[in-house]
Amino acid sequence: MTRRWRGTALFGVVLASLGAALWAKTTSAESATVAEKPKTSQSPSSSASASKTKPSSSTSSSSSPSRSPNSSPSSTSASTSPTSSATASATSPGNAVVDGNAVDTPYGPVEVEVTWQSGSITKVDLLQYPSGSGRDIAINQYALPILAQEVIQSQSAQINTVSGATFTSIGYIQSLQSAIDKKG
Amino acid sequence: MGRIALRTLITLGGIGVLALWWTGAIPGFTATPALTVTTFGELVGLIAGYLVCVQVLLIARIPWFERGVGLDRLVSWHRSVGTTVIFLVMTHIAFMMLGGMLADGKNPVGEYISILSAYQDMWWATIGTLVFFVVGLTSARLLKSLLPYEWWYWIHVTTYIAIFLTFLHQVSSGTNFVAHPVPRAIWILMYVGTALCVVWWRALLPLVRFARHDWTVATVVPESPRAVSVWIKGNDIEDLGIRAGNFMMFRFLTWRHIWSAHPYSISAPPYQGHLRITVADLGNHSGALRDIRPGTKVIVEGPHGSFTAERAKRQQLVLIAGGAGIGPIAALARDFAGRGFNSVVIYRARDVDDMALLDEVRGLPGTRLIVAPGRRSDLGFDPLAPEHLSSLVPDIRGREAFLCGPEPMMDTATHSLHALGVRRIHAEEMSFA
Repeated sequence: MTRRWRGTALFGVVLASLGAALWAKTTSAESATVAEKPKTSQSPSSSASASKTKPSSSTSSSSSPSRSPNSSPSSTSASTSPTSSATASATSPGNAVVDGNAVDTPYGPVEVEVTWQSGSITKVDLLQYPSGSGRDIAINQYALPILAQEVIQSQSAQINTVSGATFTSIGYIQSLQSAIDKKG
Repeated sequence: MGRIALRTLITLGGIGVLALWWTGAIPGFTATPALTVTTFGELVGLIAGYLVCVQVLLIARIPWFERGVGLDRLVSWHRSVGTTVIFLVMTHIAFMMLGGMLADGKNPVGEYISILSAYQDMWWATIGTLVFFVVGLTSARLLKSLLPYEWWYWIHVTTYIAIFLTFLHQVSSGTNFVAHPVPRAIWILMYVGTALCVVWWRALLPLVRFARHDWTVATVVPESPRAVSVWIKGNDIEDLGIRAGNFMMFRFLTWRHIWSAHPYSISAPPYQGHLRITVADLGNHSGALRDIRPGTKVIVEGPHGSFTAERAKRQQLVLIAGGAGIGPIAALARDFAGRGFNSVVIYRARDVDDMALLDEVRGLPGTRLIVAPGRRSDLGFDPLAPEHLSSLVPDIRGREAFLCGPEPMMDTATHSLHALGVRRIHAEEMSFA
């Protein structure tokens, strides 16, 4: 008689285990974030080993209705660029806004728009990114601000891909590189 | 113990899948509720994909599993894991949909359409999943009892196609596999390995054995109005290690029977190149064995099951047969008698006319046969209730029990034996598969 419910019981056990695994992963991710936080705040512009998870929490809270692609981490750009007051001088030599190529990925094209101020990248906006499904949007809302953060920190297209969004990352990097090349 | 070893192995595999997920999961998946829900949905999908392989391997006739656990129990596990898989698949779909809807605010239909178009192989996955649900439904106890065995069997066989169809979206769209070549290779190997096991042990080996043993129906003997014995001969079948109490899968090569293989218990193990099965009129197929002609070729798989005399630790036994369960019980009684053990055989059937192999059991040395015919509703009592059982076999407490019969009878008998303090109970369920 008990065998009748064995499959259902097993489902319950499996689901509970998976929930526990998810929780364990969450807590381990959170502790990693907490551990790396002081490091990034001490050296905001130069740390090459910046935490990947840290900016996600800051950008998602600051720009939570980020349904529009223009969800670049403006909060971080303020801290990294001391010349943020010079936004109006778009014609001065170090300032430019350049669109990268639209790069195809299996999930759709990625196209970035890079803003330079006084010769350094201060902002990466997205003109296009894969948003064919809610899952794509969920992943990219998380991944793209991290990529933008990495770009502003490294001032180049030499950045790590974001795990879970590899194809988008690669498309992002290629589009970014094309923008950098265009600016010359 | 093979059972514990296999359970441990399956659990370790599950932990391996968790590790694979752990290393490949998006690090900051708690950033938004949508991403968290989606990540959980993917994890559930991964485990479901793993358990599908487990389920198939359980019934792939792998000799190591067969010896350690026994096919009857493996099939029962297969059933339970099947229920789990169906629920996990539902959970996977629900969470993937919910995660997407949280991110883009679409309704379920719109979200489903966007998932279909955004990812590869989602149409195939949809078809495969629908087949899964049909298979799950037709295997649920109620519907399965209403369906002819052949229908159930063929619906069930389509599961292999469904598994392949759902496998495609896992490797082409799964977060843990896209752009993760090593986990992807492991996953593909797992599925290919499973497929090879099935092809070898379920398809090729039986054919090789068929060619070698050349199984052929020798004679068909009616045992009662509702039971028939089929004698099957073959070359070197003594080498197969077929014992009393084993069962084998039989596919009779006639136009009517070729479509499905049936499990039947051996009612007489191989002797001089012949073995015997005794089959009751249980369903469309079984009843039709009367019409099998001598000379018909048979594909035989097995032996399976661990319901054999080797399992007995005592020399005093009580064997309880219900209906067609007399086949293996008669063979076991003969085996025990040959070992000089003392057996009491209790034989339950609806009608005395349905009873088969009575004379065969009655004449065995050291064996007492108790015949208990009649429906419970007509008798007004259950002969297998504890009080009746103890009056039929006063020294039952010191005996080891072997049971074979339909599920309700087995439940009653097991319950009564427990109540009477019988500890060692071996059971072979007939409503197998």
